[in-house]
Amino acid sequence: MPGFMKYIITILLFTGFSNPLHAHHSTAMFDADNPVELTGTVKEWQYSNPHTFIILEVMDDNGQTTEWTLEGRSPSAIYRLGWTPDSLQPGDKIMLSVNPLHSGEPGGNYNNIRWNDGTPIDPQAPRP
Amino acid sequence: MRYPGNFQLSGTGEKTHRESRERVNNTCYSLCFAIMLCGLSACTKPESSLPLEADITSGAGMSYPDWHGQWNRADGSLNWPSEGYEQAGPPPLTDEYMAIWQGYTALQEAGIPAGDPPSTCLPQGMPRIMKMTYPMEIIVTPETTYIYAEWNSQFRRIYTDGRGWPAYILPAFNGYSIGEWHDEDGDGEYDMLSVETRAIKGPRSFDSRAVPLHANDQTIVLEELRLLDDMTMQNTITTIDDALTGPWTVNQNYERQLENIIWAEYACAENNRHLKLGDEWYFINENGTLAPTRDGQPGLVPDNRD
Repeated sequence: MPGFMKYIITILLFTGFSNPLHAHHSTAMFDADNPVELTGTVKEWQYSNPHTFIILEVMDDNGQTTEWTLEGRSPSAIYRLGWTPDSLQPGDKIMLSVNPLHSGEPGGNYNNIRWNDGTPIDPQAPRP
Repeated sequence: MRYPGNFQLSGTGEKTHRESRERVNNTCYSLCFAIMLCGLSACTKPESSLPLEADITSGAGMSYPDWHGQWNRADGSLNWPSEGYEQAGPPPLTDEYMAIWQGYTALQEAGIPAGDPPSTCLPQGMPRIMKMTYPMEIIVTPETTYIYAEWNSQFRRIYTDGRGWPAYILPAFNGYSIGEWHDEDGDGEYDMLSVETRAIKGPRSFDSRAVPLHANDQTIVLEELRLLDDMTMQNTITTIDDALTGPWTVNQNYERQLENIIWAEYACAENNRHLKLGDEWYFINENGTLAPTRDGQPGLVPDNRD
C-alpha cells in the first residue's frame, strides 16, 4: 500500500474514533464549547459498553496528579476500526482533546487521541 | 388502541394506514365468520384461520428480496431527520410539546441530558431505533421479518403472516409490528415491506436533542422499506403522535456492507457512567464519587460502609 494511502487511512480511522458526536445518547454533560488539551499517563483502558473509558493520570505544573475519567466511543464502533482491549495499555503516554464536565470535575469525553509526541494512534500499527 | 387525536393522514403513509385499517376490519369479519363456521370449541388458534392478504406461504411464485448483510446509517447525524433538519426548521411539535422541548434544550445547554432516556440505558424505542446509530441486520422469513439492531442488541419482529391486531398488546419500547410485502414493479418478487407499529412504550425521544414524543404513548409508526439500489436501502418513516401537529415523514437511508462484516455485543448497563437520581444527573468517576454535571450542583460521595 502506498505510504500516502496508509496516512489517509490512519487519519480516517483516527477521525472516526475521535468524533464524540457518535455517542449513543446526549452529550449534554460535556462542554464542547470549552475543550481542554490533556497530556497524561494511561492508568486503565476500559473496553466496555456502552462506552470505552480511559482513566488518565494528569500531572499539573505543581506536580499534583489528577485522575480523569474520560469517555470514548462504544467498543463495537471502534472494534470495527481495529481497536482492541490491547490498543492502549497502562503506562502509555497520550494526548487528547477533552470536552470536560460542565461542573469542572475531572471527567469528560474525548476526541483527537494521540501519542504524546502528537502522532495519531493507529491501532493496526505496532505500538511505539 | 385509539388513533391520536390529531391523526391526519397524508402522503405515503395514508395508503398503508388505510389498508391497515381495512385489514383490521377484514380480520374482524373473517374471524367472526370463522367462529360461526367451526364453532367455538374448535377455534383455539383464530389467527391460523385468517385469510392472508398476500399469498406468501403457499409457494405461489412470489420470492423475497435479498436484504442480507450489515446495514449502516448513511449519514453522520443522529438528529431526526438526518438530513436537512437545519433547513427544515424546528420539528413539527404542538405548542405544548415545543415548550417541553425548549425546556429540555435549556437544561441540556446547562449540562443536564434531559429528555434523552437512552442516557440511562433505556431502549431507544420506535421510531428512534431505526436511526441505527449502530448497524442492523435484516432477516427475512415468510412469516416474520426480524430486524436486529446492534444498539442494545435488540430484535424487532415484524409479523408478515397475515395476522390482525391482538385485542390487547403489552406495550414494548419497539412496539408490536405487522408488515405486508409488496411487489412495486410487478416483476413477481416482493421489493417493499410496509410496516405499522403500535403499542410503543415510553419514555422516548426522537433523538438525543430530546425532541419529544407524547407522554400518552399512543404513537403509531408507519414504515416503507425498499432498496434504492443494491447497496442502499431507504426507510420512509411516518410518525403519528399527539406531540406532533401532523404525521411527520422522514427518509432514513442505510448503506449495505457485504464483506468484512463485524458484529459486536452492546450491553449498555455494563459500564454506563451517566446516572440519574431524581431530577439530578451525575457522572460516575473512577474514584467512586458521583461528579456533578452542571455548575452549582453538589457532588455526592456514596457511603460505602458495609
